[in-house]
Amino acid sequence: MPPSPSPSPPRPARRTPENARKKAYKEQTDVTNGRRRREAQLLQLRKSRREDTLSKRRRDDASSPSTEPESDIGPASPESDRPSSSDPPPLACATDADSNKLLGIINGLKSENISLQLEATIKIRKILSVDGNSLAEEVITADVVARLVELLSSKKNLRGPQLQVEAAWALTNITAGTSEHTEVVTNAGAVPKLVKLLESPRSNVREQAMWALGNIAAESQRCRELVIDHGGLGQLLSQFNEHAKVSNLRMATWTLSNLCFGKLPSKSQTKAVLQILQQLLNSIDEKILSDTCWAVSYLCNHGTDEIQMVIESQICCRLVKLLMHSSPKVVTPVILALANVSAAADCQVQFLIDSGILQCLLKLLTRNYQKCIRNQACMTVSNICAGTAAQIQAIIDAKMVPLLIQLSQHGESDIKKEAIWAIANATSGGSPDQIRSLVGDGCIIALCNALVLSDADLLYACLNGLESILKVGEMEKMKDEAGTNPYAVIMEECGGLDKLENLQGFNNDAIFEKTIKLLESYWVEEGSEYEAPKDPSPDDT
Amino acid sequence: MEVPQETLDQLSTWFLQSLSLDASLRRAAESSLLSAATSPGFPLALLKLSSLPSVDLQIRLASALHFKNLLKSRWAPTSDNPLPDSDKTLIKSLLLPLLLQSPPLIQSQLSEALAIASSHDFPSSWPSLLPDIISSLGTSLSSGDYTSVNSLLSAANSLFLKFRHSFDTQALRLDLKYCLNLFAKPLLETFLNTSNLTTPVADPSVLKPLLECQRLCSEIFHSLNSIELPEFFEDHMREWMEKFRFYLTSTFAPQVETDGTADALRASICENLQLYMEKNEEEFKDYLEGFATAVWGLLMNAAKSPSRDQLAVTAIKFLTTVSTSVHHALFGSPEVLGQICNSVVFPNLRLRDDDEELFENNYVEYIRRDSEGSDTDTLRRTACELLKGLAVNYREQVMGLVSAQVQSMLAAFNANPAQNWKEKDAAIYLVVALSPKPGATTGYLVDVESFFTSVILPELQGQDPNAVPILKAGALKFFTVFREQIPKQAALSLLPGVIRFLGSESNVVHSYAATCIEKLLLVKDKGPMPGPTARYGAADVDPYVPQMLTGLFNALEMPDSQENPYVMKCIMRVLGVANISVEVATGCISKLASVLAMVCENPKHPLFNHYLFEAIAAVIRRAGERDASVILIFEKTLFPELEKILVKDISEFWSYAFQIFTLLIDLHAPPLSDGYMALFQVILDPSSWKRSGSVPALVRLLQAYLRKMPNELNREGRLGQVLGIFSQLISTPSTEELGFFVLNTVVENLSYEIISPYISNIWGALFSRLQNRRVYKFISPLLIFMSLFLIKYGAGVLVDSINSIQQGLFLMILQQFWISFSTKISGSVEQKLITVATTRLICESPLLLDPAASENWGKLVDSIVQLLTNSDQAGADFEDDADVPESIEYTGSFARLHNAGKKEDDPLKEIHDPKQFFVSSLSRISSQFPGRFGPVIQQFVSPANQTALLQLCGAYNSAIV
Repeated sequence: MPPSPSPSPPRPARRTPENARKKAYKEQTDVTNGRRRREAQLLQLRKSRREDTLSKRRRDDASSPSTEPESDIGPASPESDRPSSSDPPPLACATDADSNKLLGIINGLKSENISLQLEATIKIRKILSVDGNSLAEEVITADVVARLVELLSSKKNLRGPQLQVEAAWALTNITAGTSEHTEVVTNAGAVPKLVKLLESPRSNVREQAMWALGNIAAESQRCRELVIDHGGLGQLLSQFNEHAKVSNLRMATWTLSNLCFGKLPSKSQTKAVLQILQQLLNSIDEKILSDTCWAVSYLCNHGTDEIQMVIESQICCRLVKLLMHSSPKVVTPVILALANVSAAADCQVQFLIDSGILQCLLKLLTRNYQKCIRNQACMTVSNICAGTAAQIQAIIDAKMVPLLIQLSQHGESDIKKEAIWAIANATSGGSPDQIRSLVGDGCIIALCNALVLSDADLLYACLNGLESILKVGEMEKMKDEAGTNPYAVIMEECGGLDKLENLQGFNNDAIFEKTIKLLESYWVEEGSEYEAPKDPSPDDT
Repeated sequence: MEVPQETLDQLSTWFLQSLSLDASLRRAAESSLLSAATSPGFPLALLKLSSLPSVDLQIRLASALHFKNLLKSRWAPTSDNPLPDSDKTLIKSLLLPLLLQSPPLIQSQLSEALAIASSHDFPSSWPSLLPDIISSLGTSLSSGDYTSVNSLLSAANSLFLKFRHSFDTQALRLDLKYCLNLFAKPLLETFLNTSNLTTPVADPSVLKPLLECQRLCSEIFHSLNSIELPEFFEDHMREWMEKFRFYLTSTFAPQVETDGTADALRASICENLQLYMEKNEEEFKDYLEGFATAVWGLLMNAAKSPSRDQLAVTAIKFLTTVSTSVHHALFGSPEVLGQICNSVVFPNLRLRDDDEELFENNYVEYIRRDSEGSDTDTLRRTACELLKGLAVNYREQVMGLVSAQVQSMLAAFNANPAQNWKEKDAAIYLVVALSPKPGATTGYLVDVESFFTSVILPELQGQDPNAVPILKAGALKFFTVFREQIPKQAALSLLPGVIRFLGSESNVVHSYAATCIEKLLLVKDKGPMPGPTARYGAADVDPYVPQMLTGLFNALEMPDSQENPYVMKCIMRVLGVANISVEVATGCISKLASVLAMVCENPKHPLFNHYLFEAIAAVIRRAGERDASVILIFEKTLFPELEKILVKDISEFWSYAFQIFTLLIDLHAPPLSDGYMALFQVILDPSSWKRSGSVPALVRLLQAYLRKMPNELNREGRLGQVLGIFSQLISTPSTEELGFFVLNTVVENLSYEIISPYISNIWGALFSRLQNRRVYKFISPLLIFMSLFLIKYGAGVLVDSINSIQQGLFLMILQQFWISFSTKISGSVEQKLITVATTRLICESPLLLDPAASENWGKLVDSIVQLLTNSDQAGADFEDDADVPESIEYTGSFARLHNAGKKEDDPLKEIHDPKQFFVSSLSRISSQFPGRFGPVIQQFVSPANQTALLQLCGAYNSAIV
């Protein structure tokens, strides 16, 4: 067939992490539209994983803000800390004695005497600091919360700041509870007062206020907007100065990362946040570093504009270096952020390659990292493989392909799939020479083995990859003395042809048509050229 | 739903008549139904009629069937005559309750109708459907009415199937989320509540619908879990998995065990396990070992029934997945490996009774399964896949087990061949299945060579072609599969044995013998010549040809093999390779002609017929090329049959007949007989060209006439008719290339004097078409035609004849198309044509040698150099198949005969090397105008192409001065 001029070959789109799936097949059905890339993430049906949600923190009796609880992954504290709807807190019936006690406390809270106020506030805070206290539910009433919020502005005398801390502490622990509890606090007008406390000269007051705001920000996008609308973001950013204590910086970073979980209202805010994050990325404190990286990874989740700003803030190079950080608490958010960047445009991806990301990814994939890190690393590779020919070449030059083949055969099932995506992307978009090299590494077998999977998108990508390979095989055929398409032969030998034929029964039109196209184009009768009706013979069908 | 009684009565009558034995009554009823179909409310009347208990069941069923078909063709809003929304709304509100009330036969039709309607409307345009199903489900469950429960579940199942195979999109997920929110919980409750009733001791008649219910729940589980693991299912995984395990490990009353009810549930569960291994390995890992043991235990249970076989296939597939996962160590110990092989894999390799039955009663199906890869779901094949899966991680151990097994099966056979022949068959199957094809890197799991000598040879050398036919078939298959590895002499010495099997009474055996010979003749070696050489040439096979042909034609007379495609294919192959004498050739033609006469009566087997025509073409071509006189004999034998095809209008064979005529004319010494002249009139008649499938064959036939008797064209206005056909062909994209073939043939064979009266019409037709079709697919053959025209009649004639249409037109065409598209021409003959034509244009045409035209001149040089560079890089046209679908439109009905094909003619045989022609012509012309072209080249040829041009000059010792 005479060729008609056409631009570069259709390329697979990149994906963003989490549950996003590429729509590579659409390019084939809609060639004019060129590449597509997911911007909006797909609706999630899974149970939320820790890295997908924010958690709140309760401050217990023993801990001071400076010794806040360790979190396992990211800013999220362990889920057991947080009562959830499916797991209501144990709630025993309050006894009469308890009720009387509570009445006394509430009277104290309402008194005008600051000593009584303080004493009552401390008692309430203590009730709330113990997980599962039977009185907690009774304390959290609109009245009590409203009073606690009022006390945040208490300035009367020397004990004012202490009262502020205690009230903020109590509110912190209420906001660490259910959504309903948090709503009581926000409805009581706590947010503007907490933001105001960020101007306090006392670092412990500021710290406790940030904590409460952090919990509120973790609740929902509406709550985050509430905090931002009351100037919380600006106040928070001003906490980062050379005089700040490490504990304050830690708290500020955590709260900031929570605020970044949702899309920020304006570009200028994102820019301002990034300026701070850029400095924080050089911190040697692991907690600050980890929360900073989470903040970056959240920003990268919001869309290409944010990713572009992240790149312009010139932190990618630092992020790539942090992939080799010794703590998984840092590496996890970093790889999530970079996986998002790798879903962006070619030039942005090129920036990552130029920063040396491939060598880092190679290490992440070969060493004994947590599965979630290896999975994201593999997805990042697969996104890079969906890039330009030069980017595919970089993958080949980094000796990444044998590793991908190995993962596609022996990895955990998630990683197997990501590795197959990578191979399918590289073979779909590779130049003839690159495809020869990929085939030499064993890509045909890897793609053929994937033809039994049930994931329609991945199947289609594999078929595209095989199609590119077979096309190059046709060129080889002209050079080869045996006059056969060597790649079609490899497919037959590894059982791929049988699997391809089975795909005719896969109930999806696009996959059916692509399968038929491959079968008809590359497996017509050997030794003759006619397009006979499909031709049975003992071993070539 | 109010439907007038008279409408229902009328419909009843029609349906009753449509079932009548009286064809005229039936046809009348069908056409009445057809004309009533568009009247408003018609689908509702059908639905009503099918649900009336008072109406005869036969009529209700016919009505339900009609209803379903109506929905199928008219529910989609994009269909030709979509149902009005008002009808659809009513149908949607009525269908589910009516379905539940209907008896099973009607219900299954209405279920299908529901599936059709819901595939378009559910969920967004049918929000009540799922809630209705759920509330009815609750009612039916609490009353213990499992007939209704199962109807509801299968309706729900059909709604959810789309989640299994569709591409993952936001829209799909939204639908799934909606279904999960509503249905995940009731599904689990149904499953759990029902499981309390399915105790091993339950009464079989009670148990059967309950297990069926559980199977449906399990199917729905699969659909709802296909995209990713939904939160609800993760939260309740333990409940599901425990019950799944219960069903895999419990045994129920014998009745439900033997009728397949329990196994169908288990097979569905195994598919869910497979899905979880693929999608949710991590969440599933705690359950894996338990399930591996349960499934394995199930397989060890030797119960033999068709339902158990189907279960075993899915169960083994699950084990195969586990064996290649990160959890393969579950099977890693020598004991477990041994047990899996010995109790799961090896027992399933043995031929089953139904395979044996198939071997005797349906050879086509047997062959498809046994050797054409459609056995992927058979136990044998699945068991071998498990073996391969285990070998991924435990290669050495598996090899040891396999070879011990092969030895023990052969020993059992040798001890008592008459009784234990199935052991040997299993051994052959195992070796073939595990052997990689030649050239594979993974290597063999068994020693093929010694197996061939000790096991296969004795079978092939056996004298009785009818002894233990299944083993003969196995041996022939083995020979066929390993044909590349078996040395030439050894293979030739086995040929008489194979030929003997052509006479076997078993259809499988003589088909396999034919296939074996046919494949052997296709074996190629890399030889000293460029391109592959056939390993077995005429000299090798000629001594065997008479017996082969006798055996093959005899096989065609055996019961059920009259239209055996394997045999005919082998005949075709043998005739294409062997050198046959005139006697043998005429004998073959008369036999083939009588086969043709037979299939003309009732053409039903396209493949067989195709090979038949190939065989005829092969004899004509090979015998005719050596001795043209034989053509007259062939004509005599074949003309009656071929004429019959045209006269009786056997449309399937038209294009074949034309190709055979073409071949006969090509080989015929002129003059052509009257019969051919009559045929010529037929093909010049425009009505012959109406059938698009035969157009390519007609074009070739026309070309044959033009080549054979160009002067005849000039008579009786025939050239005008030919050019009429040409302009008709170029007016549609699917045939335009063929139009150019006709035109090229005219130019190649006729002098300009004959064409000149028509030339302005030709250009006119081409250029007006070009205005609407500025695509490569049209421009490319146009440029080729212009090149051919120039080469044949000279540059001056080309330029002048085009300019006579409109002054300056040639330069316009040159600038807009020639310069930019000539670099993209593909095909070596085509590239040569355009190179030579362009070279002559710049060296001969006064128009281009005019200094005023130097820009065009320079650009033409640039494009030639570019084209010559492109043609050096194989695969320059990679990445490019945009226009393909259009050009293969006609191949659906046109099957080209390889043996009747003509080698592409090179109209420029005198020029061997177009590069040399270009460089030396350029050098010659530049020496006539020294110093003139250097600057032009510098100005208009790209730097890269200037370098390439210099290299070309260097290579041919020429220079541009």
